[in-house]
Amino acid sequence: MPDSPRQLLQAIALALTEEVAPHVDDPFAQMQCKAAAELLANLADELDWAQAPLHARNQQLRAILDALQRSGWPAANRSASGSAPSPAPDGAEATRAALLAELREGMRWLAAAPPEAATEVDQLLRADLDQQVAALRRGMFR
Amino acid sequence: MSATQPVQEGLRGFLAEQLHDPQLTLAEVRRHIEGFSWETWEMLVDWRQDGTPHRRRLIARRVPEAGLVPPYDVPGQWELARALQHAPGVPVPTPLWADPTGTATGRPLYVMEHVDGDVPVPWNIHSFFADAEARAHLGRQLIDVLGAIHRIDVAALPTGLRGQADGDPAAEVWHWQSIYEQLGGEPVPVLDRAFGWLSAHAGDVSGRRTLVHGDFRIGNAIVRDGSVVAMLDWELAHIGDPVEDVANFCMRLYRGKLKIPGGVLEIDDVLSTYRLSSGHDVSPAQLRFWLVFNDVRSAVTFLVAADLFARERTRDLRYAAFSHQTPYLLRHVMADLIADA
Repeated sequence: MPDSPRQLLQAIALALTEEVAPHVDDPFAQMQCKAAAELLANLADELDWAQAPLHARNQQLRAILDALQRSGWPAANRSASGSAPSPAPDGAEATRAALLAELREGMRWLAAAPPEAATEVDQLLRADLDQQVAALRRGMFR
Repeated sequence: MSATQPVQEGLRGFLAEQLHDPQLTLAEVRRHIEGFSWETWEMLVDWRQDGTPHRRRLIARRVPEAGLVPPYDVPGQWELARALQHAPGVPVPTPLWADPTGTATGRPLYVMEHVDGDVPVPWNIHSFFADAEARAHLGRQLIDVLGAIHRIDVAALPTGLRGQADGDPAAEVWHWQSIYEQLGGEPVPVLDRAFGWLSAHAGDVSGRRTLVHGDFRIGNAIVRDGSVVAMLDWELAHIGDPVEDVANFCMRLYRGKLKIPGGVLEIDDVLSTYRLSSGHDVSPAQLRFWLVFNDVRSAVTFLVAADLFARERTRDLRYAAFSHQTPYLLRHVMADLIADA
């Protein structure tokens, strides 16, 4: 995912203004392009990642970490998130970053673990992906 | 002056020099929009030689502003294309001239012949051929070409191909893991899981070492009158396990509406044709290993695209859209890793 919705929308507005609009011949279509760019640039300052989906995703990530522990992962470094829903001081984005870092450690452990240790983890990874895909508007690469 | 005018003028000057006609003209110049790798320019060239007029359609492949699979090595691609001219059963466009320093247009490029035909893709293949037998016929031809690629004497290939100096049969996996880790974005749990799985299953490689196309699929073939007349897009070519190519052809991403490899052949047919063509069996474990790898590689490529847009290396909005497409590919990773239907 991009760093923030603000950066993404600002970059799209710039691309529409400088890369697309100059090459649109029809004046009406060109103005539509410029209007869309202006709208996006203004919306960019009003946006942040919606908190509810972030909290939901963090719960999914915690569930995978819990499954790793049930599979035998010692989780020596598991301190940033805990298994309880305890938001980090900087909010859900910081919590997500901590959870993903812990998951990376867990996946390294899983690579050397017996295959059966992965069963529940793999199921939860798939469920997490299914939720992400369900939230997408459209997919070019289903 | 349009934004593409300087490139067109550079191409004209370069070709005038190669064909020894300062009055050479270009017509029907267009930049192809498909693909995310090399910039591809098509043009109709008119020139005179010894007073006689000539006309030829050509393709120029130029190093992109922000390509997905760097490095873009014009001398390397040029030398490989030349070597492939002598490979029986491997149709490739004839390479003509190279500008390895970028003098002509500001970025390096090479020019090759234009090959007439169509490029079928899995999502339109069901309407491209008259019936299942015509589709399967083309699919078997493609697998025959693949076998021919894998029969090429590695010692006869130009030096500098990735994997040539690295005998590790899973070196291509570590290459892409390195690209993923160097992106420096947030960890993607499925990719961390998959790279761990690939590491644990590295013993499943075939042990063979051949030229690997690196993106062997129906969408990189030019087809004319039902026959494969050229294989394109060799920028991912390397020395490695040939099963990687077989798996690439079989990827879920390229199965189309018919849900079969390339939209043309059942997997059993792919493997039996490949056995006849190459003289080698592909085991289920080998195929699974490289299927997971190819899914992973594609997902990493999507991450690279999103990263290029985020870092303002490109303003192509399609790159930004890739970030929201990655979950689909990650589902393919998990499906192949768990090896279900």
